Amino acid sequence: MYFLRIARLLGLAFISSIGINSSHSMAAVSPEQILKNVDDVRNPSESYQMRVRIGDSLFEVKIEGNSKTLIETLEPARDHGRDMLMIGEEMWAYVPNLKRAVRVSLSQKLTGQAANGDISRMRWAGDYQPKVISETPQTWTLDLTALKKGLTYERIRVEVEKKTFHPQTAEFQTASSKPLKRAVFGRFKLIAGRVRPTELQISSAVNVNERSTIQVEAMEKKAFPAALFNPQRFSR
Amino acid sequence: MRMGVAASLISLTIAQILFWSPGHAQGALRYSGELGVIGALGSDSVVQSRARGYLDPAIDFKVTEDGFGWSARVSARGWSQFAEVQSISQTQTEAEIRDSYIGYDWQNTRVRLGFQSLSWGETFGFFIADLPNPRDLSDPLLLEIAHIKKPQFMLQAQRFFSDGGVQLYFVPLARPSDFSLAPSTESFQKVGPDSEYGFRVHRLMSFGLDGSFFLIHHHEREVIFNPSPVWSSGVTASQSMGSDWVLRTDQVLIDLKKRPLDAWRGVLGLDWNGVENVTLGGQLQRDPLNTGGSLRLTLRRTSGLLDGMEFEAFWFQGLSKSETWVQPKLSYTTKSNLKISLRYDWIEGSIFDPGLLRGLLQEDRGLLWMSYGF
Repeated sequence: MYFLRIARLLGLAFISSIGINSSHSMAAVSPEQILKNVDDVRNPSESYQMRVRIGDSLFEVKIEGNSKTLIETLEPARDHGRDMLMIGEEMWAYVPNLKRAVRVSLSQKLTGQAANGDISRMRWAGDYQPKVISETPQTWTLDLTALKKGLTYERIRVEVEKKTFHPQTAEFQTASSKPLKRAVFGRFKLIAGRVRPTELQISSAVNVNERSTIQVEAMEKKAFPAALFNPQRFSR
Repeated sequence: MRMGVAASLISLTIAQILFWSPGHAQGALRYSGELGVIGALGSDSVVQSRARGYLDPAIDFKVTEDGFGWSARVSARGWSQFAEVQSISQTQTEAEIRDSYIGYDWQNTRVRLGFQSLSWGETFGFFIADLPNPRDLSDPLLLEIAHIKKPQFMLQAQRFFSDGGVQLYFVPLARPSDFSLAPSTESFQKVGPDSEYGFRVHRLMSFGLDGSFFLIHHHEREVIFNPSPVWSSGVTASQSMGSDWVLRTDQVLIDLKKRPLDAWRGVLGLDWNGVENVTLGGQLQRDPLNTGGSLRLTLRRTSGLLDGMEFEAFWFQGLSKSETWVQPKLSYTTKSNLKISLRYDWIEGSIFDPGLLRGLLQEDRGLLWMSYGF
């Protein structure tokens, strides 16, 4: 624990040495840089694998770069084998009783209170145009606007802690800024090489009783062969 | 022999349940399967009312977590059926080997040897592009769709590229399809004349079109006796449109020596997923025997009071010949994978001038399934 604290302090010292400290202002750090740093906190930039629990469901998620995701359903038993492959904006779902992969529409990415998109590609930088819309001594609030179609959300408003670039809360919105969901990032832990949020509590902006929690149980950086994300290989 | 295979299946399953936790992998091994019973209530003497118990065990072996390296699968299916025909009880027991093979996966290449099933088509209902496997049409309405395809003993190789791939297969001795006038297994005994082979190339285009072309040499898959093998080719494609729509098509020319219109079967379909857990699909089907349209609806409930409830409906309407097939199905599955399903097949058409549904006419029935997936 002691060494962990020292490591965190050293990490903060390093971040401070490159000009990021509690005295940041909008002028000192560009919105693009803030967003990139937030992405680096949320997950590794390269290929990685994580085990994610959402309620009774357990998923093994393999992510390659910024566009390829393979989601394998491990639990509950009835959904075992209902896997999903995403390559950019294209999606396939494996249907166990047909024993084949079926092409599905992009909207399937948005299903569930915790959308498939919430556990697939998780980088915001490059996909969204960030803008700092407000600032306190402790936080920035960024407004993210989608730069391409097919993203899980068209607009995101995210609150970021200045000291650490830890995301605190997010509001997922329609293109007209109508709130869809609200999320709270929590349980920051050392995982896959740095301190990251391992819990995301999502609630519906329309019905606050509709809630779900995404828990990252494990995460590791890992390289995958390109063939793992081939639709024909996915057909088994 | 069949009883021996059936006894082996049951022993294997009992051993699995005793020594392994159900539904979980143990190191490199994983077992799965289904144990169930089907009750069928026929509407007349053609379709006997009956009860069938079945067991589908499978064991998968993988050296590495991602499936690269050596892998193997052993699966089988056994069933025992009780029927009462004109006050006489009849019991029938059968067992068969399903997909069972050994394979090796390199980074971009896969080779498999053994009994295998290939799925190539994009559309639903009649699966016209899934030609590499013969069909078990002896009682198709009592089987899940995946079991209508009979695995063939083949050598299969696939080469994957980042946006496509090539697949080749060779079946030394073909298996015949199962229907009343089909050739027997003994009809296929010579490697060469009785072999089947083919290839498929696949490409995912940058604008999202997922397309393939195939050419294969195979024996007859239809309910028409034809002892000579034929060459067939086809294309399959799918394309998502906007965020809610998927366009899909399978177009095949079965027996390239026939006149084009006699050889051409095609399905063009459009699916809509605009509401969560709802799929509505429509298809237009072109076939020398009948041209028609079909609708497919799936409603799936994944939370709340009806969590695990699924309703599926399929309706085919022949246009050039008056034929109708309506199949509603309601299922409830618990999280531990205990499933109860109710299905009814209502089929109308002329037995004197049959079309696409010629193998299903007079087969109306209600079915009740209870199964446990492990």
